[in-house]
Amino acid sequence: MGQTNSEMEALIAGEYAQGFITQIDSDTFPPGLDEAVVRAISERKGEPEWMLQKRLEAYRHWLTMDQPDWAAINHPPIDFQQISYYSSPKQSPKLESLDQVDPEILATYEKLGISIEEQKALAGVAVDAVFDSVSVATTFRESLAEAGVIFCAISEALRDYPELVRQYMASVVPHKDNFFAALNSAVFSDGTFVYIPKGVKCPMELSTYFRINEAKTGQFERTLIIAEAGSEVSYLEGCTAPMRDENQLHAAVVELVAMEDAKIKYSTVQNWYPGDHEGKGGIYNFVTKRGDCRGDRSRISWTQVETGSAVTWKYPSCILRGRDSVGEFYSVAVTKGFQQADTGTKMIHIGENSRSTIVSKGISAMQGSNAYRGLVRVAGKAENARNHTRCDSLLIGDRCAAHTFPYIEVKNPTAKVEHEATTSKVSEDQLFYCRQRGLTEEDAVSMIINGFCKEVFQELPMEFAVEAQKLLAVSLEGAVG
Amino acid sequence: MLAIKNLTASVDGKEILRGVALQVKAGEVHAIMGPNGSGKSTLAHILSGRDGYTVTGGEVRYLGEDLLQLEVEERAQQGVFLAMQYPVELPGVNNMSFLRESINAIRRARGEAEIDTLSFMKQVKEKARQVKLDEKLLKRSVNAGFSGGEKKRNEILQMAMLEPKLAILDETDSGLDIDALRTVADGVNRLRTAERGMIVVTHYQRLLDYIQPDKVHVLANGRIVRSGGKDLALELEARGYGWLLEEAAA
Amino acid sequence: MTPSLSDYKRWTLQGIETLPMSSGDWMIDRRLAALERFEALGFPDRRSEAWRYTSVEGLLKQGFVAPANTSQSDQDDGIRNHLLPLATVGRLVFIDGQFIEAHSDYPSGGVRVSSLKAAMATGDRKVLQAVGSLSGLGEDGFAALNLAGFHDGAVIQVAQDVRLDGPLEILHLSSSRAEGRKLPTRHLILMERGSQAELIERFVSEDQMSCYFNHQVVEISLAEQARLNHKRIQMESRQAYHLSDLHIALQSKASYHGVMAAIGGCWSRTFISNRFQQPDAHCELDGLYLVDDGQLADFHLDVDHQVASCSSRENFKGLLRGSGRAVFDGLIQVGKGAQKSEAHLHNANLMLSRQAEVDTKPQLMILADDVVCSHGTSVGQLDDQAIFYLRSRGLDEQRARALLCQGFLAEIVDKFEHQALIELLNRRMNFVGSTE
Repeated sequence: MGQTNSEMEALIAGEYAQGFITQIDSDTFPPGLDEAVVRAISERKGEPEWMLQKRLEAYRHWLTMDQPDWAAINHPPIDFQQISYYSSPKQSPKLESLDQVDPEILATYEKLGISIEEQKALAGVAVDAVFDSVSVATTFRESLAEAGVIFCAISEALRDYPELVRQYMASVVPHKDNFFAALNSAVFSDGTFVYIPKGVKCPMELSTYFRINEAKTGQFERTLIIAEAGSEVSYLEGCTAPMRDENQLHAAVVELVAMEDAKIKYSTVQNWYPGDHEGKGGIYNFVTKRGDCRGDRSRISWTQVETGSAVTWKYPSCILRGRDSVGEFYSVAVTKGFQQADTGTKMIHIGENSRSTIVSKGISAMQGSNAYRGLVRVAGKAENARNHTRCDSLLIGDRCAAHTFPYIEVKNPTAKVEHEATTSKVSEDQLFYCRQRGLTEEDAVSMIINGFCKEVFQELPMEFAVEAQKLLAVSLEGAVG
Repeated sequence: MLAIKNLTASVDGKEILRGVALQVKAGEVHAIMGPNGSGKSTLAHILSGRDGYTVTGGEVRYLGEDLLQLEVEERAQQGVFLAMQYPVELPGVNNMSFLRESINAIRRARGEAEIDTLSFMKQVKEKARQVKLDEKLLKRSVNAGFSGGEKKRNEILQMAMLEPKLAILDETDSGLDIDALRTVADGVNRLRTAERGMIVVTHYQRLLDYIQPDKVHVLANGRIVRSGGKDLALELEARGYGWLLEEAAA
Repeated sequence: MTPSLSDYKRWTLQGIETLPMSSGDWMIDRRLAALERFEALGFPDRRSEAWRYTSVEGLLKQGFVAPANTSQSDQDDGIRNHLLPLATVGRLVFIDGQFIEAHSDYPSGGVRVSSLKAAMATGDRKVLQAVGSLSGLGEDGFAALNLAGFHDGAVIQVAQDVRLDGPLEILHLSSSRAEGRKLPTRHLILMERGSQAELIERFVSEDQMSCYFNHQVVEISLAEQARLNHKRIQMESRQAYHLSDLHIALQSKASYHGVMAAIGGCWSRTFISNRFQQPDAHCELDGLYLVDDGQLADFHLDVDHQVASCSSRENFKGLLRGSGRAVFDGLIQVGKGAQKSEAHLHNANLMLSRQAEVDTKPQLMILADDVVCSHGTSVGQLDDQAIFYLRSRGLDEQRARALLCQGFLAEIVDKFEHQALIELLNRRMNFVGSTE
């Protein structure tokens, strides 16, 4: 049996395919963080004074906070003075058209399979490409503008729609929320802003592609999506980074606001560099994602496929304020090598008849450690709240770990909350059965894992579902023996 | 087609097969009977290449090749099919897609083109009807939540679709009521051809009322202690295994 | 004003002074070391994960002092009111945390029973040294405080291959003299190889309004192939505080089955730690809790599979009425190399009132792959369709609700096996289908 384990591990220990480094000139701050750095970032971005004040407030609060230590993850302490808080490719700050994007950067995205040249792009998907700290390109802006949809870098939004940003930013994730949110609120450099006006169904999928390139830089993006009453949007994000020996920090904040009858679907395929086979290097991914179902019958759905990062700490959450509002969380998290993930969700039921669904699939292989941590809270006034949670862990090999930490807090007698969790392994019997029917071991493992993840994959938009399956397949590449 | 010579094998150091010899020609159906723990299932598993068994001696030639050298899937690709006593559940893996993946894997290995969707669908539906497998089960996960009878029918459906050269049925009758048994046996009989060899492993004679074997072998204490025609099965039904064991020990 | 740590220390020291001390200096040193540990740890607060949902403020405000020394009386002491027809082979009675020989019946043949106080008096070092060997000094101040200040308790040893014909009972009665006091006891139960026993523990109170703090630590050691069925019914006074720590260690092929009920008290917490020390052991825990106005019931399970091939099953069910609160925290750990472990945990809650609150936290921590583990929890209410069905068959709504509540808990209640216990539980739980 030991042999089969190691064979299976060989299958799973595929190489990281997105680990190349792009050679471009960049404007990078020296490492270190103080008020001057916060001011400099704000200045670079040409921000209004109120934004600078908010940043400084967040920075000062951050100084009073300690890094959280409750998650089931272990990593050496992060030295926040060793990180550069801003890096931007050197080019004219305002691009008139995509033709002006540095060809090296365009090539980078091509290589990653993301085309930001409109004529080559996937039909029906608009892309905002964030390279290190800045947004380098946003496609299909004009066609979106016709529908009244704003899709741009958040730094542009601060210039062009300051009142909108001011109204909503930090209204879902205040800077005091947690250590990493405070840090992000002080030093965020770019990210995506989406505004869908009343009654508009966004005519295409929106997507942001994040790329960390520069060494020793942190990436602190900030995403804000506002869906006005009756509007709908589906948003996708993808993430990669080069292979580097040192750990890099990614601390993003994502805020979603859904008004009456609005629907937001937010999908993530996270494939940051996970570190090498000895656990060296890789991205530390500390992300605060939260959606606010502010209006009645609003709906926010998080779907994530987390295959990368050395450490993942993220809990995309829904505050179900509106009556009949719906929150969903579908997650596949894969940890292999020395990867560690502590991820899950919070569903805070405040509105009457609010409903939530949680489906979490954790796969641990080799020395990977995977924890589901989730909170379902039903407040006293949330009449007839419903939650159903299903958490499954799949273990491959006897050195990995799978943990499940659900918290269920109910203060209303009409609530129905159910939580189920199971732990299983890819069994010898299953592999033998598939092979006896003619499949190779590689195909058998991949088939069993895809079957395990099916409920989550089917929640992804079509293009991403294919990408996610491919990503798992790439992870499984490397053939037996 | 299959020639087993003096096969010995052990599990965790314990000798289970102590010199098994068996010849199966194309077109023949051989029944292997024997009391519990006699090594019947071990033999079926070794032929299909399952882990956990150590072959300590002897040889198995299949179509002239050394079968024991082949990987599990290579044996399947070359036409060895094992219908299992306890078919495995594969949660989330669609039954029909699984079947198609299998067929194509086997076809690819033989240098044949992949099956086209239309004829695949047609065949599956027709064959599912023949083994009386509810069509709904084709859309569910492989064996997940199937009843015992449904699992066995699903095995026979797979066998019919994969068209093996050598089919090994391991205790396919266990846990079946008489109707299910008849359906399963019909399915097997439909697959009897002049090119196909079959080994039917069973504890009870009743399956052999429906699948008439050409030869019956009794396996006891890791050896074939008696071979004969189908009358041997009837004799066993009447007298049990005891007398044979005594004879073998004597 | 809430007493300080040093107040607690002083009260504990005063309590120790009243104890027989022929056990020698080493015993005092050990108590002092535990007291030091207590001072270092302090009392837990909600920042501690294990106490996230359970506040100790109310308990600490009471400032419970060490118990009075009850005289060994041959009066009835109200014991008779609490006896049940249980066909016991022996009964140990504790009044206000002190063993009362006059009311106790020693079992015969194969079982050795004594009190810790007697062991202290005779300086029985072997027994006294075993105290604390399974519990250690603990992670929160309470366990250390108990080890420093325990006054009495039972020591039960069941000899090799002995199988008791009937249950042993330990009855804890709190009298009105317990008012304002802390009753720190410890039991030590040693099941030798191949022995089998059933133990029934009950906590009852003379006065339903008296306020005291029953603070108990139980250490249970099961040698190879030993089996213990342990039933515990907590029916303290409605104003009482109750804290029990159970530490169970199992050797190869041993089996422990605990059946717990928490019904009384304004604040009760039961912590059960189950350690498999050798393979092929089995543990089952069943529990029920019922809380009404002003009550909190808290169950904490820590089932630790560090060796291979052990199995455990946990099933806890709770009913919440009035402003009752319940906390359930069930942790299953499977250590590296503990292959072929099997563990299944279930927790279900019925919320019958608007003011009630339940916090439940089942946890799995798995470090081996060849395991079958699951947990499930649910929070819900009575099924309207079922109520309708019963009403359509002529029952009034109250009766219908009562029946369904009873039905919900029945699978746990049945595990108490003895008719007398089942009736007692059903009577005390008084299944009135009160909602709103």
